[in-house]
Amino acid sequence: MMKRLAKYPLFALFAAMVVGLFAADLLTPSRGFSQMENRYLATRPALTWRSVKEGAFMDRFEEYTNDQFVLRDAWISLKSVAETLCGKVENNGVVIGADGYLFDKNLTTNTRQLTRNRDHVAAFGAGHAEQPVTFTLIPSSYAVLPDKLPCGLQNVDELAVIQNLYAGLREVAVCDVAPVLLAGGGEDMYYRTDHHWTSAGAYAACSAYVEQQGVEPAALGSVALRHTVDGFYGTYYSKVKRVGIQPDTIVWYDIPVRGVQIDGQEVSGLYDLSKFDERDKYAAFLHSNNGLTVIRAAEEPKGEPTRILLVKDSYGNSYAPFLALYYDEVYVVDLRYASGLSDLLEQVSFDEIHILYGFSSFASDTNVFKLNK
Amino acid sequence: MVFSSILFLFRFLPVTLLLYYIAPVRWRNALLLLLSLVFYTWGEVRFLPIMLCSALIDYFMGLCIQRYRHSRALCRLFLGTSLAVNLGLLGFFKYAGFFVENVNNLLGWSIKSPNILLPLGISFYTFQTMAYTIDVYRDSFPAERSFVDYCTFVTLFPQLIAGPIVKYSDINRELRERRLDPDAIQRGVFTFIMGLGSKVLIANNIGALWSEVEELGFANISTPLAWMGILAFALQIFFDFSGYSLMAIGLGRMLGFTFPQNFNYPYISRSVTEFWRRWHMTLSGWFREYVYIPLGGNRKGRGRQYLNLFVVWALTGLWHGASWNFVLWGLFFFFFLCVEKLFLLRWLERSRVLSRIYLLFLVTMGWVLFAITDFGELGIFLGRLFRYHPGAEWVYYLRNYLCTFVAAAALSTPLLEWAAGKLRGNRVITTAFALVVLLFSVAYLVDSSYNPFLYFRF
Repeated sequence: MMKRLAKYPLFALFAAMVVGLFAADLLTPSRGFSQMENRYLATRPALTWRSVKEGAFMDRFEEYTNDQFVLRDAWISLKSVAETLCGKVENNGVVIGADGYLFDKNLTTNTRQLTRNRDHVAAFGAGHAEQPVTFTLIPSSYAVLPDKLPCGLQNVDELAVIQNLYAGLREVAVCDVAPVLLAGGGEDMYYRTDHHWTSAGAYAACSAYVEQQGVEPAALGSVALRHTVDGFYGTYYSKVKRVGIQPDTIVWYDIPVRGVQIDGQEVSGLYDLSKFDERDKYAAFLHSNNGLTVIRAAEEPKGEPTRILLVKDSYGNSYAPFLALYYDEVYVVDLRYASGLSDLLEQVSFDEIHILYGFSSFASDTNVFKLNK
Repeated sequence: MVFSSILFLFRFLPVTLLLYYIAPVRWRNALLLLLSLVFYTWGEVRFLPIMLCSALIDYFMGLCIQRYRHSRALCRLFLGTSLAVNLGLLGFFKYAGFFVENVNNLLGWSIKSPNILLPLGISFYTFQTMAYTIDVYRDSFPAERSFVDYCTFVTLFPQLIAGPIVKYSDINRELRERRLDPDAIQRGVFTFIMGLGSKVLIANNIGALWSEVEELGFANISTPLAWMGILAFALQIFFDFSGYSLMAIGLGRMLGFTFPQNFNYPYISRSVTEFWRRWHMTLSGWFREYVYIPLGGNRKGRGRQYLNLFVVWALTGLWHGASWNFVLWGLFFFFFLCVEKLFLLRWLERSRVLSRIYLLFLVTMGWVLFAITDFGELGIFLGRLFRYHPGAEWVYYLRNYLCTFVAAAALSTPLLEWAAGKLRGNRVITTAFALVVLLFSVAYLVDSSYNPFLYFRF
């Protein structure tokens, strides 16, 4: 039989591959979380008559088979090699730019959601006229580094849209951080493999904000110890899955604080240092996204503490620590994990309120209405 | 279930082949029938009864015609029943919405448009079973007595959902008796892998460009990008459909069946006449055999011939989709077929380059009609093609898709076959090539974000 098989090499190899991978696939245990793709892989769906009748079982089973296929990461890398050889510069909505930068492919914006969210912010400002409310939209990295985009890609002009949005907002003050991000040359302001800004970018924005409030920005080197963490592969990398991308280096500052509370529980400082050993290193900042985080600055307040409320998305995680240099108490709220602001605003009085969002999440987030809840 | 999926390649296929090759010969048809039903049901549980209904009616009608051959009237009745049921099913599921829409537009009524889902493969299997009944009526062969064999013929999973349209006479001998010749099986494997590569590596990739052009909106794109877009669609539909046909043919060979060829390098044609002898050959064959010839073909005078052609091409267009742009597409080809028949063919035969430019231009224009259902959008897109609209975004897309364009264009010609001929059947190279295609196809399937099944609406 072996001799016969040798006469038909393609059939033999094909059969070996199909049957072999079939067996290997069945024998390999299911994976839970994929480090490479930074997401949970689909698990085996439950077999019920209803799900079979509606076809949902088949779809989920197919997804499960694909996600749990043996050597999935290797196959993804093989595809990535093929794409690179073909000269393709994008995959899964992420574009490969110059100097190892990865960018969002952002051809259209959800203007409806964007306008709706802007109206929520305006309503909030109108409803809290006694407190100074400032609003900031952070542009995506490509908006600040347009020359690094591949030629011909016509992404949404975020800077223009943001200016337009600011112009239409009368009920709140606006802190435009785009100039400081552009002034810094843009390069060190954002990560190359992640959609977030770096600590340098966050610091520049924070300095711009406090300057607007009439406070002199603190020189970072004198107040906090600087640490670096290498090997950061961010969200863009997880989507584009391209081989040969250089990782980023995270810089974080050990800003002295008296205590940090998350949803009522005391936690070990501003950063969850264990996350620096995992794939999603950005999650170390402020212990990732939570409902309510309260930061108490290092020095005891003399008299009434100065308080600021920061309503943010994940960009705020690397921004909030810097606020501890200027305010006695920093309250950080992520509306995706909180039920609303009205309770908090009744219990605590704030000197300033800062609403800080990244442009792409602000244009798609459906939780901004909670500002007024 | 689609062939180009991990689920099919590494679950359904190994199980099927293992069981099939081990099974005793007389159980093979029953086993195939069972597996084919599983295959069909995986995609569409609730439409299985419809497919079985169509198959059963024609099985019984076939037997009845056979039994009552002496009575012309009865045979006509049985044939009529079969056609009525099949066309009724097809008409209802595929065209009811279209019909209602047109009645509303014409008479100003507003009947609520029924939201009917199209059963998988209905356009293919109804045509297949109708051809069977018609052939039995014509006494081309005796009706199939074995219920299992007949159902196996209809439900055979390689060709059930997207063709080629296999006539009963194509495989009736093999249904009864087939040997598993290892050389044929290996050729089947090669054909299957070529089909898989066509679909996954070329069609899916180049098709993403057309999808993105649609997403950007025809009013927002530059002229170069519009041309790139429609060329991408032309390549996508060819490699998608021919890829699927190749996979079907390859699978058929692995099981011992020889299915008819469905595509023969249509894009090297020198005339529309030649194009339709190379594109979707089993469909144009079906229309010629069961519509054109019964209508009289070219045996009832010139005028009648053109009328027959008109009917055939309007129906061919309509078969592709329940929308007027498809009918327009069919009639577009009818027009040029007539022109060629009248005088153009002689001129085209004289030139090897100009005729091909002529054909490729016409076919591309045809695809514009085919791809865009809304007439308003069609107008905008044609405006983009023929009136210059500047823009630089096409540079980005050219960079991303140049490689695929070149590969697709090259593979639209018999280049690969010519190369294989030059290698004089060098086993090592052809095996290595097939394996490389297979490996990359699997890689693209594992990480696929875009794997459409273009012909699901048939």
